[in-house]
Amino acid sequence: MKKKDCSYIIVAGCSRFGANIASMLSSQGKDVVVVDSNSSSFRKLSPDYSGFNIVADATDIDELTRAGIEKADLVVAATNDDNTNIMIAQIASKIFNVPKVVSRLYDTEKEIVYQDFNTQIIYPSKLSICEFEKLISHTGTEGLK
Amino acid sequence: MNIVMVGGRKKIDFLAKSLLEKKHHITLIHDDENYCKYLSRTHNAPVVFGDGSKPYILEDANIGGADVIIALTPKDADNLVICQLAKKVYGVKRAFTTVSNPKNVEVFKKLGINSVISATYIVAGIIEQMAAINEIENFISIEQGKIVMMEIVVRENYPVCGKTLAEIGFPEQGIVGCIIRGVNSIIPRGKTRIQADDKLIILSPPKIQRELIELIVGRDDI
Repeated sequence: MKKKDCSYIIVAGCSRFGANIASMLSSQGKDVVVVDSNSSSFRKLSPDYSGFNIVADATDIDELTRAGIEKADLVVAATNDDNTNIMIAQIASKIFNVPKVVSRLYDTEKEIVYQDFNTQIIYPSKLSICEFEKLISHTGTEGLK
Repeated sequence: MNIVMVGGRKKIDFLAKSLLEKKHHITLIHDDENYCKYLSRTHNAPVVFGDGSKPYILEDANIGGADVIIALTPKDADNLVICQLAKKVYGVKRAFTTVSNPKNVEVFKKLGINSVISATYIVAGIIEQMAAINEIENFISIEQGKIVMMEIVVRENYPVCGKTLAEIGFPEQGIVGCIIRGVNSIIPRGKTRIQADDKLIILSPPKIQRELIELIVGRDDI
């Protein structure tokens, strides 16, 4: 039985990105669990973060089960390693049928391995380029001449 | 066959040697520069230095012309991505990999990579069997333990000694696939008679293994 949409969230990897997302979602009143293999990573979470921390390898299915992945509405693969994110996202969507899976991917060339998986991808490199183009178009090209 | 191998130290070294002896064409990828130098000195095969989970490194190793990819890196996630890239992007027919976490054998299967070997899983199984039952000379588990192959050497005092296979009456699910007698190997029929010092190679599902050993050895204190 679901309380409300996207109310139970697992963030795999307490990177800057993961920690900030977890802190944001937690401040919105969602149930958040952060999984990271290194306990010192949790210092990046904001002081008012009120979710759970689990020190574990997030590619291990038993640890994910312990984190409650079976009832998760959203899983965010946010480690600093592309391959680890790919594996976590695939496990979440294919094996545990998590309704919404978001993964960070630096290397756009690896995008194809997400085919056939119900996963949404964030590309930091593509986003930076978009932002760059926006900045350039705002200031106009005159500044560059 | 054209084979591309990625990562792993002793494993890639040993496997490269053995595959080259069998006249396969191999290409090695490793992410440690010094180890690449060693591999290139030791083996007569192209060596690519780099991260094998990156498409351009795989392309440098001519993955497009490969029949088989073997991923041996220590990280399971890297192995998964290497195999998936090879299969999905470059159309490589067969992908083999090792995993360090035994639970990932099942995980990889569900994610489309079928030939997964967990050394921990296999070694633990063998040690457990050999330690528990000392009549077994050798033991191999096939298909994740669905079928086991064991070797038993027949002693004179065993009840099966001197009988034919038909007389013994093996359970339906178990079979003596081969008898090693001195230097000869015999594919047994019902009338084949078992002698002392024969080595029986037996295939069966694990659940009747104990029953079979009792039948051959003639006691149940195992």
